[in-house]
Amino acid sequence: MSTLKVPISDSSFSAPAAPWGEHDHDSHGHVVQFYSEDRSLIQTLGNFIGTALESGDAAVVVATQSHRDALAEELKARGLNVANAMEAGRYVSLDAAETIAQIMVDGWPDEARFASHIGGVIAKVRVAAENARKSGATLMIEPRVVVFGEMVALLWAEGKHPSAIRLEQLWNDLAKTHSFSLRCAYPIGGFHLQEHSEPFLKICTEHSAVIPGESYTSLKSEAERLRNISQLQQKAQALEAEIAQRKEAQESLRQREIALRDAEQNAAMGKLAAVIAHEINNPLEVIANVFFLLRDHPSLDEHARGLARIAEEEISRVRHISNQTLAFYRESEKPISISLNNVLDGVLEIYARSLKSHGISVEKRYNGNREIFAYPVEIRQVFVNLIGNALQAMPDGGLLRVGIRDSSEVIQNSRRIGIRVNISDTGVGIPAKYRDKLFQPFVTTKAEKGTGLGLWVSRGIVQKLGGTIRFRSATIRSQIRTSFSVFFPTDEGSA
Amino acid sequence: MPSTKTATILCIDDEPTALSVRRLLLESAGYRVATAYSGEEGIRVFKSQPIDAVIMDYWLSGMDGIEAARELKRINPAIPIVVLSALTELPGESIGAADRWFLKGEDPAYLLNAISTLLESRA
Repeated sequence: MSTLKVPISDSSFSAPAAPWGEHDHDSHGHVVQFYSEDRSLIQTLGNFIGTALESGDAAVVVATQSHRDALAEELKARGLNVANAMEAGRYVSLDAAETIAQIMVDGWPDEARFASHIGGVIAKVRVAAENARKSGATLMIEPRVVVFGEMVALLWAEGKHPSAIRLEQLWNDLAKTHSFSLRCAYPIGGFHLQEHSEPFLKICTEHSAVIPGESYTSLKSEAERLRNISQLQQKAQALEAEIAQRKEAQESLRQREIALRDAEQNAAMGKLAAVIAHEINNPLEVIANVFFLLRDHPSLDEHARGLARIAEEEISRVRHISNQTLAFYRESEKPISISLNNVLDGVLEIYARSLKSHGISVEKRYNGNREIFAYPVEIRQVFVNLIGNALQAMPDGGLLRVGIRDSSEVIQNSRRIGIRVNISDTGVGIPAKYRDKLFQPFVTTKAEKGTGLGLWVSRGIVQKLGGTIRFRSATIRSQIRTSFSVFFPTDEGSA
Repeated sequence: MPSTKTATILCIDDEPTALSVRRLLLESAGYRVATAYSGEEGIRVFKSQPIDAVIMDYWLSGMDGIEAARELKRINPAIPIVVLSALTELPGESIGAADRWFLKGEDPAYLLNAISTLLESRA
């Protein structure tokens, strides 16, 4: 087999053994060339096809009409009689788009059609070249077949990337049964997206050699090429950094948009909630007061008082659901400094009667007066929920511990300084089956008595302040202890 | 200061039904009750007779509840004031104007309990 080394892009190019030329006339070579300018491609192609035809070999071109026209001009300029070569059948020029139409089935390159159509053309031009040699005075060595194809480039340009890669593979398959040297070419501008890098690499690996764009191949010395590679590496580095920055900026923008949308939605819901709350709570107060008076009213008999008590319990459910649901959306006001000690005392005061009637003793451990910036109603709601749950968990009495202390906690990989409030009880505990989903909405351990919203709402409030809420339920010395720990960060990173 | 159960509570609300039922509630707990339908009227009543604690609506027509509460506190800084609101949240600046605030519709026992505690702490 001939191992001619032919300069590709410039006939005057004399660099020794230019790496992108050595596979050109390898009868099994499958070379891909990337180019920026059509003119550069045509020059290279003129060399590739021209040299073959000049040597009495065969050539097949499957290209766009404009490239075929430009190539014809180029070959003519080289002094080649293309018409003669065509007439002899050793040069065939096919339209790429028409050929694609012939080899595709349901939008996918068909192996059989490709092998039959392209394989047939290659076999034909080889026979023609052999015949020409027999009849002429050319050396009786077996003619080579060179092929230029850019169907793959058309498919790529249409966005049919998998089809382009598949077609490259079909060319490789065809090379197992036919001997030819193949050149493919793609405009490098078609690979401008980051998502192209993987298929680009795939295309390169389907070829036995890669010819980079002319900005590289036109360089004349090894030193220039090394400089060029270094420069490209620097550009790649800078682009990668810029892409990373841009992605970060896009993500940050996306997060801000989501936050803005949520805020707008919450503001709208907040206004609606305020109106609904006002309309529900005003009559609810009157009804609650009336039934409170009726349940022990001396003018009623025991049956009627019992009915009043039932009504009162039902009112309590309405109140609970209304508060839990509506409290989630609030009119936005600035958070203020509030004393956790006062909030907890206030909540314990609310529950004083129930705690006493259930035989629950309260142990308070406040480590000084601790304040946080928050919405008073929300913080109160959190502890109304937690202390209320503890109370309901101890129907037969027990011990409720309420503690406030300075603490710290690692939140999102950074250690935060803050205040921890612990609410623990010696009640019935939390069954294992609820532990993983305790903070999900509509999950309740209290059957029909609970809304399943309290802990979900509480966690939402605490998280909004950058804090955390956790629980532990364990049996210690045959006594079940359930403890909820709420951490509010107070350092600079605090929400 | 009279005993907590003979104390006089001033109730201010522009809703007559709510006011009359709240009066019954407080009377059932043994308190004497004075009423007013506006902030301005409440201040007049407050100045005209001994009052031991005030329960008032936040959202009053005319002078709002917080404005009235501030004026009452100016007259007597020691007077316990409970503000009731049908809104789920009060503006931050209103928090300091009252000693306690309650969401309307909460268990009446909490309100009675809070009044009792406030009166005891000032007894």
